[in-house]
Amino acid sequence: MEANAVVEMEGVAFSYDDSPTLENVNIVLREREFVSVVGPNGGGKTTLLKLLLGLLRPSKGKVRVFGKPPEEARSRIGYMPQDVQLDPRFPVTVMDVVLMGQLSSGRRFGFYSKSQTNAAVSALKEVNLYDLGKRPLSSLSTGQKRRVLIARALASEPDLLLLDEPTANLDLLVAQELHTLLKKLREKLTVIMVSHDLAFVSRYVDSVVCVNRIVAVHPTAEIDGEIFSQMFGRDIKMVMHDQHFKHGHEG
Amino acid sequence: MQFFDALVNHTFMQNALLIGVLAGVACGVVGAYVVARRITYIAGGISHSALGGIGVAHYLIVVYGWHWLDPVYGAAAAALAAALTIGWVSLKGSEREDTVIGAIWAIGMAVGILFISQTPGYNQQLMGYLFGNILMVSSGDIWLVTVLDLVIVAIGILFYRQFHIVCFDEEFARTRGINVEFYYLLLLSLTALTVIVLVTVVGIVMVIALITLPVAIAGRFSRTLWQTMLLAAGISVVVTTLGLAVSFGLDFPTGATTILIAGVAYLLVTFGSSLFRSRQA
Repeated sequence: MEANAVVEMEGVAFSYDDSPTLENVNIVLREREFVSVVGPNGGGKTTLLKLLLGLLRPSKGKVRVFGKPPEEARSRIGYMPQDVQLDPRFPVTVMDVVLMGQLSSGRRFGFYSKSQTNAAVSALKEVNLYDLGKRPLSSLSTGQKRRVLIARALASEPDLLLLDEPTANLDLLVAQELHTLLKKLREKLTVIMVSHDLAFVSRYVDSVVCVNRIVAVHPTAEIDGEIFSQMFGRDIKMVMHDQHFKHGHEG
Repeated sequence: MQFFDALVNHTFMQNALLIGVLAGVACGVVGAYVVARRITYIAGGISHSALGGIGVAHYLIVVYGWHWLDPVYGAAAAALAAALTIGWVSLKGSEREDTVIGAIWAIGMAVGILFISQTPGYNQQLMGYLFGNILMVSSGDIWLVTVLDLVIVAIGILFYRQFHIVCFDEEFARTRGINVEFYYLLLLSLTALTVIVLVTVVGIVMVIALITLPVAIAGRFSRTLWQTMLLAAGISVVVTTLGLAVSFGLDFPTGATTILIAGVAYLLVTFGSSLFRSRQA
């Protein structure tokens, strides 16, 4: 066990059916690291997050979060899932959704307590959505909904934040707003983010976890087209084409 | 007016009104979850399978003289068994859920009809279970329904946060340490009990309408699940009471009248609000 390791995966493998989704994954992430998970669709990015949450169990190897099995570390993990899986017409307000992040603490019965509500309010303020707290979730734009889901993850008062495609399918301006938010969050938390947004990744992220059945970790500075084409073949070139990725790197 | 006279003078009318009110409240609380989670079809399967339990209980009472047994207990047992089976299948995900629901739906009815056909005597009661028999409610039924109602409403409200999150986002619920399987099965069990309460009012065949329509109407005027719940409970109480009054006045079957009132209200609200919106636009 390494000291101050937030996430450790050792020889982890996982498969939904006969063909393996992930094979021999070895990762160590330390406190305050900001890591991006990239890879082609179906390459196992979301699976990786679910293994860290203990929603899935590895068929081989060991997963440790804060030195514990994921199930025991959950209370310290904030999770933002992809929003496509949510029913867009579900009767729920923004505040209701954020409050769900507080569910593991406090009393078992009835409604939320004052301190739980306060935690949710400060999470909403953090993502600049306090004014929309009473609005139905269904009335929000996609970018706003993503921020609500981030606020819900923050309301869990986590030390590790897992974000599944927070910027997918957003227009540039909205994506930039989210980037500003993420930059702010990385100062306080360890963040693991699944993203297709290589321009952002190359600018702000400490290291990149490339997932395509096998997993490779690269410090962002080392990332170039070579590594990506090795990992993904033709898939990634299209993305590289319009994002001037190596030049954009400031770190 | 006739209705009020009857209400003052006849216990059976008072019982019917009370059952209608109790059923309405359970309906609002559980219906809101059922509609939000989109498991109306499961509720349909549960309610129809109840006929199996009714048939078996009825047979045992008549043929073996088990007079301590009430068909309602049979219905409750069958509905709970159906709810847990469907819930287990849907959590395990190894079978197609809709296939299993359809099978349980029809098998339950087949068992019921078979046992009723083998029961000697005139089976007028069968019609009551299928289409509602609110005016035939005994005081024993009232006790049972009251207890069931209290259990449903108490559990539905006490575990509001857990049900809410399990309906909205199962996976996130799991990451917060919620026992999703337990609460999902508990919700289906509450649905089964609600169905039993409603069977006396509108009958097996029409239960789904009373679970969904008031919630659908309420949903148009509320932002949150608990607002939907409160409003739907109110609407259900009004609908069942109106159903009782109108059917008494016109000498119509109460169950069908109640459902039609709910249906018409739903259509009016839907039509009205789309008209309202197109005017605003």
